[in-house]
Amino acid sequence: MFRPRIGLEIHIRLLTSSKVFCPCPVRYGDEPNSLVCPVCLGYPGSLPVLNGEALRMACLLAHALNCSIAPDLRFDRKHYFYPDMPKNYQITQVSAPLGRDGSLELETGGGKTVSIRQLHLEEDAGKMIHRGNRTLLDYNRAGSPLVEIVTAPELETGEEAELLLRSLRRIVRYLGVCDGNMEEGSMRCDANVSMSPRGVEHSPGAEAPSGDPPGRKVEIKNLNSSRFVRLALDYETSRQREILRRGGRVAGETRLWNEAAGVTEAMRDKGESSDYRNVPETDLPPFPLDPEYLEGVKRQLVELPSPRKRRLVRDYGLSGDAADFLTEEKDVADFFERAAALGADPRTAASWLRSEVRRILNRENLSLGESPLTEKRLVELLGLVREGGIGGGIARKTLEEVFRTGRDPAEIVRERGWEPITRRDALLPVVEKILAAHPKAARELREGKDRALDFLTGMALKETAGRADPGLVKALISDVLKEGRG
Amino acid sequence: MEPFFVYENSGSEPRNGVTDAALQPCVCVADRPCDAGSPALEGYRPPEDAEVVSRLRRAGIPIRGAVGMSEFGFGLRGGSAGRAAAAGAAQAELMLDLTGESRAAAAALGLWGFKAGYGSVSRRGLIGLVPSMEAPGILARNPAVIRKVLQALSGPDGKDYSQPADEEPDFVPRGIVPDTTVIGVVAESLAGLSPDELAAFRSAVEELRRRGFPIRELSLPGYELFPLVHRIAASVEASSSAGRYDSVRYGTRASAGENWNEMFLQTRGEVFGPLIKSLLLQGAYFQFRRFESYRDACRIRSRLLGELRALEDRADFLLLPSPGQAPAAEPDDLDGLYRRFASTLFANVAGLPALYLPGKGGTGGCQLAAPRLQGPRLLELGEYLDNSPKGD
Ligand SMILES: [Zn+2]
Repeated sequence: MFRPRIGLEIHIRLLTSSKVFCPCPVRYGDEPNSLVCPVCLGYPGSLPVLNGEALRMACLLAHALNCSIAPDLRFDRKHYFYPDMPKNYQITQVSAPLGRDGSLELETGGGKTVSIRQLHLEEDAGKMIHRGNRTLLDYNRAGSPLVEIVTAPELETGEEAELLLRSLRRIVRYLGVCDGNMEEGSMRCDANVSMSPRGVEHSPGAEAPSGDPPGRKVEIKNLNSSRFVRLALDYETSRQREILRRGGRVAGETRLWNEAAGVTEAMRDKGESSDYRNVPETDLPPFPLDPEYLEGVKRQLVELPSPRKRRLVRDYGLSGDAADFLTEEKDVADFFERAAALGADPRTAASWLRSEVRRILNRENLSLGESPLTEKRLVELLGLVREGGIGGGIARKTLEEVFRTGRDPAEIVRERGWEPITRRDALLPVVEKILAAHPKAARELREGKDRALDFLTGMALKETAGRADPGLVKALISDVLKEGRG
Repeated sequence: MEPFFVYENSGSEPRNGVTDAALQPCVCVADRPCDAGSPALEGYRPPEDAEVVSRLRRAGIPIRGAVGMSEFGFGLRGGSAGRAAAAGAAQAELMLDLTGESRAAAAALGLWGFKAGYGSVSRRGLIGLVPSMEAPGILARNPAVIRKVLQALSGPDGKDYSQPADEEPDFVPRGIVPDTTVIGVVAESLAGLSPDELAAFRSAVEELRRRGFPIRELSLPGYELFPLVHRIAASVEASSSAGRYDSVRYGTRASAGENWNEMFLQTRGEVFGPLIKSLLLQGAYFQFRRFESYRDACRIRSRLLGELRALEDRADFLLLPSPGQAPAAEPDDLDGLYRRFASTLFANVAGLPALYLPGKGGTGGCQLAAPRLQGPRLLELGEYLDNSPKGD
C-alpha cells in the first residue's frame, strides 16, 4: 500500500594531494594540527584559492554520472557555528552545483537507473575530540576536498541503496578520484526516507503530497558502511510502513543508525534547521568554466564498470558473474583484457583470476598491480596446462611459486622437475605399485565398478605428486588389468 | 608622530618617490599587532604579510607604522583615519574602504582620498567584512602620491579570484584632453542634498565646465536603491564573514562558559562594539528572517551594475557629490552611518574606483568615479585637475 522513497546524500573524499582551497597536504594520521595554514584555519584576511586537481576530479565525476555541468563555477557559504568548522561557514556549492540532472545505473538489480539531482564540490571540517570537560580540535582534515552527490528519492529498498553505493564505489575507483572506503570515511552516506501511497507518483523534486501527507521525510545519519545502509534502510522502511499501517503518522526527524541494537533511533533535537540560508562566497567570485577545459576533462574519462561488464560478457563470452568480478576493480579488468590479448583463453583466465589468484592476493593482502603475477606469466601458466599437460595441482603449486619467487612459471616447473610424466615406461611401475597396494579397488574395477578407476588414478597422481598424465594412467591401469597382472 | 602609530617600523630608503606609507592595522604585516580595530582580534599577529605589504616593500616604499582605526574599518568612529597623512607623519595612508571611509576621511581633513576599483588590488591579507564591496583606500596630500602607491599595489596576484587573471593595470599616462573627456552627472544623485551641498556640487560642475570638460547629464533611475542594497547585502556578508572571529584559534576569548557553545556566545557578545554588533545582527536578521529581501538586494545590485555599465558609453567619468564635512561625532548607529556615507557607498556597491578631490578656496570638493579598472586613468584626471591652471 505504501512505497518507500529513499534518497541518498553521499560525500566522496577526493584523492587530491592538497586541500581544496589551500596548498596543505591531504593526509591522515599526522600529528594534530600539523597540516594547516592561514587559509584552512580561517585566519583573518586569508583567501581561498581553488585547487585545480579537485576541480578536475569533480568535473570528471560529473561527466561520469552524466550530469550537465554549470557554465560558471560558483561557491556559497553554508553557515553553522561549530568549532570544527574554522570559519563557521563551509564553502560549498549547494545553491549552484557544478553538476545537475545526472544518472547512475545500478550494476545489478535489473539495470535500474537512479537520477542524480546534484553534484558539488565542498570542503571538509576538522575533528573535535572531547576529553572530559575539554574539547580539543584537530584541523588537519579541515579544507580537504569533498564531492557531495545527491540522488533523487528513487530507491525503494535497502538493497538498492547498497547497490547504488557499490556502483558508485566502482566508478570513483575507476576514475581514481576516491578510494571508496566507507569504513574509513572516504565515502559517507546519509539517507532520507519517506513513504508515498502506491500509484501516486510525484514529479521529481516534489516533497510529500500536499494536504494530507502520510509521512514526513526522515533523515538517517551514521551510515558508515554499505551494509549498514542496507540494514538501516530496511529497518526504517518497515518501521514507517508499520506506523502507517496502524494509521499513524511518521514524524519528520533525524535518526541515527544504532549498529549494536540494529535499529534507527531519533536523534535528540539540536534545533538545527536544514535550511542554512546559504549566501554567495564572495571571497571566491564566480568564474566561467572554459568549454575547452571541460572537453579536455571529458577525454580523461575511462570506460566505466557497467558498460565494461556488458562488453566483457559480449566480447569474451563470460558469465555475468565472472564479468562482475573482473570489473569490480579496474586493474583486474585491465589485467584480464591484456592476458586475453596475449592469447589466454578468456573463460579460463577469468576463472583463474576469480579463484586461485584472488585467494592468494587476499591471503597476501596484495593488489594485482603490486603482485609478481604479470599477464604474461598467467598466459604462460595457462599454456602449460593446456599444451604442456601439467595438471591442476601442479599449476596451483606453480602459481604459489610465482608469487613466492617472482619467477616465470615455465622456469619454476622445469627447475622443480614438475614436468608431466608422459612416458609409458616411466609410469608403468607406478601403476603396478598402486594396483598391488589396492587389491580391493582393483577387484572392483575388474567387476566393472568404474568409480574405482578414478580412485586408482587419483592414487597414481598422488604417488607422482601430480605429475602423471591422468589419461595415460587410466590407459595403463586398463592395460595392466587386461593382461591379468593386477 | 607618536600618537598616530599603533606600532612603528624603522624606516628603509624610499625608491619610487613615495617617501613612506602608514597602514591601518587591518592590513596584515607579519608578526605585527593586527586587530582591525576590534577587541575580537586583540593581540592577533598575522603569520604572513598581506600582498599589498609585499608590494609596498618591493616598490621600496617604507612602511612607517600602523594607525588607529575604527572597528573593522566600518565607519570612522574611534579611528584616526587620515591624520598621519594630514600631519605629514607618513606621505600616504593605506586603509580599507567599506562604505566610503577613505573618501570621507579625506574630505574631513582636506586630503585626497581614493578607493581602488573592485579587483584591481589584491585583498589577500586585508582583514575585512564585506568582500564584494570593500577595497583598499589610499589617502595623501596629492594625487601623484596616490597614483604611485596604486601602481605599486595593482595587478593580479593569482590568489585573489576577484582580480581579472590576465589584466595588467595600465599606468601609461594617456594625457587628459578636456574637450573629449566627458564628465557625467547622475541627476538622481542630487536628490536629498542640502542646499549647501547642492551649491558645492554645482560649483564643482562649473569648475570642470570652465576647464573645458563637456558635462553630460545622465539618468540612473535606480540610484536611490544603492544605500538599501548596501545596507542589506553588506550586512549579510559581514555577518557571514565575521563567523570566523569566534575566539577559537585567535583573538579574545571570554573566560566564562561551560562548553564551547557558551564560549562562542559569551565571546561574541563581549568582543564586538555597538556599531559592528548592529551590523552583524542586521545581517543575521536578513539572512535568517528575510532571506527574500537579501535575494532581492542581490538581484537589484546586478541590475544596477548593468545600468551603470550602459552609462560607460555616455561618459568617461562620473562626478558625484562630496562626502561632506565631518559631523561633530562620527555615528555609532546604522541609520547615522548610512546618512554619513550616502554619497560614497555607491562606488562600493558598484565596485568602481572613486576619488575624492579636496575643494580649493573654501569649496567642498567633489567625488569622481571611473569604470572598474580605470583607477589609473581616474588618478591621471585627478593629477591634471590638481596641476592645470584654474579655468577662470
Ligand atoms: Zn591549509
